[in-house]
Amino acid sequence: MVTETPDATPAGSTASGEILRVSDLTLHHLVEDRLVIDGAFMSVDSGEVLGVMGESGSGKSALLFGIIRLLLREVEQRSGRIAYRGEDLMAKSNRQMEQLRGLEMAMIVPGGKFSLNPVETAGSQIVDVLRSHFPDRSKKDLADEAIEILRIIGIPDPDIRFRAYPHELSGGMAQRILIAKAMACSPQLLLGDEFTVGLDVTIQAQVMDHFHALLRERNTSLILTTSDLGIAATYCDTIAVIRRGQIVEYAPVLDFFANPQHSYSRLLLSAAREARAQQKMDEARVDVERDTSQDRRFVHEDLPAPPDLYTLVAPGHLVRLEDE
Amino acid sequence: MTTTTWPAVRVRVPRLSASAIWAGMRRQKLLTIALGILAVMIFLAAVGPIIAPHDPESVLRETLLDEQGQPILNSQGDPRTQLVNLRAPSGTYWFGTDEKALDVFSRTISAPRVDLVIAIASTIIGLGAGSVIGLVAGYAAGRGRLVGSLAEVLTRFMDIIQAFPVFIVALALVAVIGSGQDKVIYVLSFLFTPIFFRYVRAETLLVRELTFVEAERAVGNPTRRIMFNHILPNSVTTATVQGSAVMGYAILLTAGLSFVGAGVAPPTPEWGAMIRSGVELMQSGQWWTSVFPGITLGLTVFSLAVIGESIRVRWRGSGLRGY
Amino acid sequence: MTDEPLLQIRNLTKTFTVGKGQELVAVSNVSLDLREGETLGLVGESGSGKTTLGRVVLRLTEPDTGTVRFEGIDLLALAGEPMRRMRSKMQIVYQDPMLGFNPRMRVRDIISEPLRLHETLSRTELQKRVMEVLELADLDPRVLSERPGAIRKAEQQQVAIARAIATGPRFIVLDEPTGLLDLSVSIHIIGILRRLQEEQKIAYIFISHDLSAVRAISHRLAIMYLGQLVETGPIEDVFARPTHPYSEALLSSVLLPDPKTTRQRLRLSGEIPSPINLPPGCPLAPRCPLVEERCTGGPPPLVAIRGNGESGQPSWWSTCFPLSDNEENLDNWYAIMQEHESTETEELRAAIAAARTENEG
Repeated sequence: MVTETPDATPAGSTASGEILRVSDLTLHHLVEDRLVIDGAFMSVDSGEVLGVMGESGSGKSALLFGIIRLLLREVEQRSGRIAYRGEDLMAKSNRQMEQLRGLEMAMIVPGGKFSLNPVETAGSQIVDVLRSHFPDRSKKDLADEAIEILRIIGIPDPDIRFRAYPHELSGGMAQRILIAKAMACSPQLLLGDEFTVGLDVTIQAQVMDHFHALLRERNTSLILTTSDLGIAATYCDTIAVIRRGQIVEYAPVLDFFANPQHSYSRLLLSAAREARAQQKMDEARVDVERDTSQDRRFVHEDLPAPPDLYTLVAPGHLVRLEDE
Repeated sequence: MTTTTWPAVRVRVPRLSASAIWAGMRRQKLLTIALGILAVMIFLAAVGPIIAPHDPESVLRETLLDEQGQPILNSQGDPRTQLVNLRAPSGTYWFGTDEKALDVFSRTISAPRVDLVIAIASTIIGLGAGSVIGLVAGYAAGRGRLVGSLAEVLTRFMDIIQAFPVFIVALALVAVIGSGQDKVIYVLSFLFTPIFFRYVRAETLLVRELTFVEAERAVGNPTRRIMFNHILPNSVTTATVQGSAVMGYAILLTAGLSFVGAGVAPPTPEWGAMIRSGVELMQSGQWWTSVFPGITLGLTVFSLAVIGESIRVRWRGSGLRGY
Repeated sequence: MTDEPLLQIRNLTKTFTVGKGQELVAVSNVSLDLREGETLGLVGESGSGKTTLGRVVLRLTEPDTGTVRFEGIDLLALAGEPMRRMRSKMQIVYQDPMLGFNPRMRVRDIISEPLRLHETLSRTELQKRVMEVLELADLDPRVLSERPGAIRKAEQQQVAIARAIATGPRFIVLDEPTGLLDLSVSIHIIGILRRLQEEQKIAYIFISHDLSAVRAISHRLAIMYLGQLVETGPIEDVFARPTHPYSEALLSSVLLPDPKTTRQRLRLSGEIPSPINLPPGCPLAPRCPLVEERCTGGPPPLVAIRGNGESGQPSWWSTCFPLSDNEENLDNWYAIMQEHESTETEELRAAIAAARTENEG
């Protein structure tokens, strides 16, 4: 069933590759009596990486949990439409959502080995994910596939790691296992919640470089929350800046870094600019011009944002009106 | 360190107001009753012997009367009296009188001054001694040869005390140092020290490894101050929480010792001794000498147990553990 | 100004025994100088021993061998009361300020504790000093009566700073003070620290794995890997032209906040090994793309990149066997390192494509 969003642009101009469309998502925290998410919207294409940037407490994690419909008891959804490949997620039963999670969309959690079941081997945790969605396949078959997934995710000696317990893994390796768990059933949409926080920089670069290349290869979409401008600039195609539950700016990554419009975005970027200016002096390290020809692929012309609150400043670049 | 920003549930701590207390009392009826009983007992410990209708320690005599209701006089012209032995409860003697012609009611309400004082004093002394020794043993454990082994010796000594049945040790100690209220306090304090010692030592072993202890050293706290001002306040909580339960235990032990004649000796009013004095009379139907002190004793121990449990429940999940 | 550095660390080694016969060398033969009013950025990844080094310098844990001289005094020879008095001149700030506070104390007590310990002050004097310190740390007096858990994370860290500067220390070990803070807050904290340094000439050892924070505050940089110092030098020089392969790998891994450019990265193979029972030789050898046979033989030589500073230590040095051959011709060395660098995509895509064909085949 296709749910038409009222603010969708006339037929024909919709992005053919759109996989997720969220509009007017509002989440209310009952105990604290505040809006964790206030009228959020987004549109994600196949293969697109959307970076949700915000500081702690901005609601960026809540947004992910809202999309995958895993809300805390204290949080209620006040409004919002979430369409995954045109299907209305709000109309789905819990049972249907369970089927969808893992198979179609999956979450990558942070925390490395602390987020893995300590008494199960890395391999069997992946096999578990596979089995819950493919109950008919043989154990041997699933184990082989799990090892293959570990190999693809960039884990050296996958047959050995398959039998390793979480405490035997390093932080970077455990985080890769968590990524492998999420990618086990080749979902089309991944939701990553600051999952490289706590990794050392060299490891973070290793994990993210590989993961990003893999996403491109498989044309998988990712919504990634982060407070790290480096991650946002390096791996994301589109940036959504979120503050106090509200999306204040939504833009293609090149536009965002070249021409931030909202005062909050500028504040975030000014610190980075200063750091960048310093780094220009690092003459020994060759910074390569990146091939940005691909980056124009994900410019959303029809973002489901309320027009009275947002101004369009460039194609796919929306800024929330600032109250003085 | 996780930085997941899923909104945390903030627990609101209610302000203490009359209406909040009232609401709390209605929600926790059992606790309210227990607190009420304890309040009455503490009140009696303070003024019991003063408000008692009869002197709890001197025998009751009644003047003999002739048919006209006139006192019968002896040859010296004084009124003749008889002992008021074993009278059933009546308007004059609410709980009756015992076989020694003492007023059971007056004795029952005077006993808290003995029993409760023993319980409170021995618990406080035991807590104090156990905390200090536990702190030293916990802080010194595994540090250097000499202090480390000293801590080990202390811990083993406490184990030995606890290895024997409490009541037998208590009896033996009373046999050595003698009986009486003060002696019972010493004995019980000695017996309770290892209980508190264990809690404080275990907590100290945890607390001493926390970063803030290092931070306090880094600002220049001397060791003594680190131990007593910084570690101790953070490691006595578990022990203190046990205080109420130990107090109930103390009352039972005191009564038990007196019951076998090794605690507080008559005529001092004491529940255990009173129960003992009426045991044989139960069979002949004179139940009141044992039953009234027994009920009072039971209620007191019960209220301390309820209060102790409620403190334990409330304390769980707060303080350092949730940190 | 004297020639002698404020803090002189020589050949410091700290080993922990873990389990039976297992040795973890947390700090291995580290020598460093710290001058008055200077910030030394100490960076390294988990298990590099940077936090242990900070604690050993403050004598919060005892080293096995080596010396620490502070204002010319041998710190390790001090015992009991003289050491305790010395603590008014050296302080520490932790990553999570809450962990450094006695959970039963209020902010006022936390800040006045060091003053009570090192000075005899009347009540009004104490109050006055606390207010002064509060202002230095840019804190609102309203926090004084709060419990630290009730104030914001940034304010908690400011309280920790206030407590550290209360007795006018000469140097402070800052152990990832911005590690848990958001970017804007972290900039605020670094601003406070810089101002304090200018006003009071305090020297800092700034421990962090956040390289941009380190760069924003440090004068010199020291890079640690598995307990050893691999490179030390003036901050801008090391950032611009690192000489040790590990320094290059670390600095080139920092993601640029600029979508138009990407970095040639020196990629280390595998992950950081366990620091227990390390083999002799260069600690980086098993992962280094430039590894040679001699690298596993013995400790790598110290290569002076730039001149001899005072007190016998070069102002910029690095420890690496292959580098020592190119000591005279650094440009050649940079060229060698660059040959081993790559941007993200090509190599990885090839690897993934290979995995895929293998899967299909």
